[in-house]
Amino acid sequence: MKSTSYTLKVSSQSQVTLPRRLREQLRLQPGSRVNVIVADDGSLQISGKLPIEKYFGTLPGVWTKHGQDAAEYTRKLRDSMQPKLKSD
Amino acid sequence: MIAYDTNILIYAFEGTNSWSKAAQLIVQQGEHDGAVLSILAWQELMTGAVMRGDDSDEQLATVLRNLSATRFVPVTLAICKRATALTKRYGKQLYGYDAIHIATAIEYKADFFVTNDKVLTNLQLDELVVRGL
Repeated sequence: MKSTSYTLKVSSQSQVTLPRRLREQLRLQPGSRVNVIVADDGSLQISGKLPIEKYFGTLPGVWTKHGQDAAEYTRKLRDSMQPKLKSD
Repeated sequence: MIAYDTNILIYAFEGTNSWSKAAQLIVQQGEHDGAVLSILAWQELMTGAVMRGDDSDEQLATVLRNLSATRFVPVTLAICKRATALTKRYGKQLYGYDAIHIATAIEYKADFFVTNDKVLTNLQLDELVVRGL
């Protein structure tokens, strides 16, 4: 995988500005959050991806409602897209 | 490498079902060990989100972009051949989209396939372990 390195300057208010190219690369917009991992050797890894746990429970009711189960949703969807095979 | 069904991601992201916690653990395991799902799962997820008629599909797209070690893989000729072979062997028990999901897991040598769909958990396959939550 091709990697790109950036040198960022810390301002007097302890802020850093992410270059436009990096923002575009990480698909960051105002309000986006980034994940920063600090390694034992002091290096930083900045990711536009958040741990998926952050999104658990964030889409209630998108697929099911009124007590419907997720497996019921996918079963109905699949059955609606393919014919039942005839019995022997 | 593990594999799981669309309903696992729904339980995890909706977070409102009694199965949600167990599903979230599976998704986390996939992010740790690697997971593979057919691109059909992406389409099945997105269909429900689009049918809402609001911005749920955009929210979902954002969420799915944050998956790192969980991959949605294309339906290839090899997977279609595998799916057809499964139907030839198991007949009406396993065909169509179900066969594609299972064939994808087999093709990528997943350790097991997790689903909460009884149509699939009732299967006894020699090629793959299918587990319920």
